[in-house]
Amino acid sequence: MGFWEVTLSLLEGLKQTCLIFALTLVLALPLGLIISFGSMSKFKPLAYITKVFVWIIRGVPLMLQVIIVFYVPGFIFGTPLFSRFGSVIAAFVINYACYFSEIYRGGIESISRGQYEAGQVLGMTKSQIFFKIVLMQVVKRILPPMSNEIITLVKDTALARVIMVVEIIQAAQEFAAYGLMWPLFYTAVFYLIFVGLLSLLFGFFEKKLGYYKT
Amino acid sequence: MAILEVQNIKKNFGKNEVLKGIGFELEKGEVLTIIGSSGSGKTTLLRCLNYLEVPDYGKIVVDGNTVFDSEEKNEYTEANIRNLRLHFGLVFQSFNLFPQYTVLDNIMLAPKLKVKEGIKNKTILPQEKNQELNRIREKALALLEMVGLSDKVDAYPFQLSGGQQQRVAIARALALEPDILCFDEPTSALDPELTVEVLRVIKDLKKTGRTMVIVTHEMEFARNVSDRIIYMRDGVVEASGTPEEIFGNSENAYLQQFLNSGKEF
Ligand SMILES: Nc1ncnc2c1ncn2[C@@H]1O[C@H](COP(=O)(O)OP(=O)(O)OP(=O)(O)O)[C@@H](O)[C@H]1O
Ligand SMILES: [Mg+2]
Repeated sequence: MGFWEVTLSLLEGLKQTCLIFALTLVLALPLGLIISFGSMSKFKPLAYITKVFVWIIRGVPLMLQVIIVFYVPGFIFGTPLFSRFGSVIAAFVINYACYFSEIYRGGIESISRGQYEAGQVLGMTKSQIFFKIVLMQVVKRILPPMSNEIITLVKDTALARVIMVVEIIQAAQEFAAYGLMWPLFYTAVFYLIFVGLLSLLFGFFEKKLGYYKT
Repeated sequence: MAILEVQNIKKNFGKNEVLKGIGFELEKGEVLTIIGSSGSGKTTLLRCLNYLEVPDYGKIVVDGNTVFDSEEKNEYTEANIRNLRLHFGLVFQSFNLFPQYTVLDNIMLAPKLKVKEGIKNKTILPQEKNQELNRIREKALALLEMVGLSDKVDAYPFQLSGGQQQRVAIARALALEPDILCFDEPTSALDPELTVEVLRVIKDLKKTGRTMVIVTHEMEFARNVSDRIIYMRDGVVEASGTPEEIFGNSENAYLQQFLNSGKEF
């Protein structure tokens, strides 16, 4: 089995890795914002329930959550709720949305009341205050923890193979059956390039927003 | 006629009665200083004038227009309050400049948003937009010159000293042309040498006939700049009068004690 054959096969796995990554990001980023509003709600029961939910999701290993989403509905309803791939996405989105929600919450709560009040006494509306004053400050604050979390997500995609979704590690693993170990180590190159590009991207954004300090 | 009439303002936080019926009047062009020990309700009073708190009781009249009346049960909608609060400007103890904007943009942000809204509500014609924006820019530059910061137009707040930041905050408040400008301990976050430059700007404003309400712990400044002084204690106006009357007062034991407490150090 040659180098190119292995590379092509790993690229096939990488496609799945990228798909899990992209879908999770696109769905979890907005869902996380909704969850953060829940946990900051003035309606105490909602805030309390949201916080307990976030605590559970963050407290249980993601691998276990993937397994639960895939197998448990089968036990209860006799038939699985999601496909293998669907289960991975569902578990990843919920898990990452909870992590993101805590980052959003930290960012929003770090903006001092004085910033809102300064906008208010200048006669600005709530939405003007949010979009013109608060939002950019929040983005700047959350960018570093967000980039950490998103880079972690790249590597967490490997957990999909626990329910036999063939992402890049699983693709490499299949060569091990033929006694080939090097493809597994070879996957590290793909991860490094992926994470390297993301780091460059986040570095660029941080520099863009680095023109001011608070 | 008084430009500002404040009648019997009461405000509670839960069971804590913070303002117990505050009243005073202020003539156009006058400077009113509010003094009093910590916790006496000075900040709360300013916040009530600026709708950052809603009084539980009382009435506020600006230039003959009632801007707040607890007896009238009309709804204070957000849009309503936004218009009414523009009678007042507020300069905070902690400046609260917007860190992501330059000095000039800090001053122009709110006036620009007003123009945008004006165009949306058709009170400003689209072809007038550029003229309006130019007017706002000219005005902002003039205000910066007045506070002595013409060379900082493009600086960001983090590049300025506290005194400079506070002077920008004053210019920002003035850009909306409030009838009455309020200051909440504008110098108490500043070193003494920076305090002087901010107080000088406030004195200049007095010379141009600006009506102001100033909460301060700077007694010398209060004595020099004020037309009238209110001494607040425990949510009530304990004494009020001209600077001579307040600093010469020997009747009120609380006031005596308050004025002397600073001198011990
Ligand atoms: N949002 C609030 N919620 C509850 N209590 C408040 C609130 N704001 C102020 N208070 C209380 O009101 C009282 C008066 O506070 P205020 O800030 O008006 O005093 P102050 O005269 O400005 O004091 P200082 O000189 O320290 O600034 C204090 O007892 C304070 O704890
Ligand atoms: Mg105060």
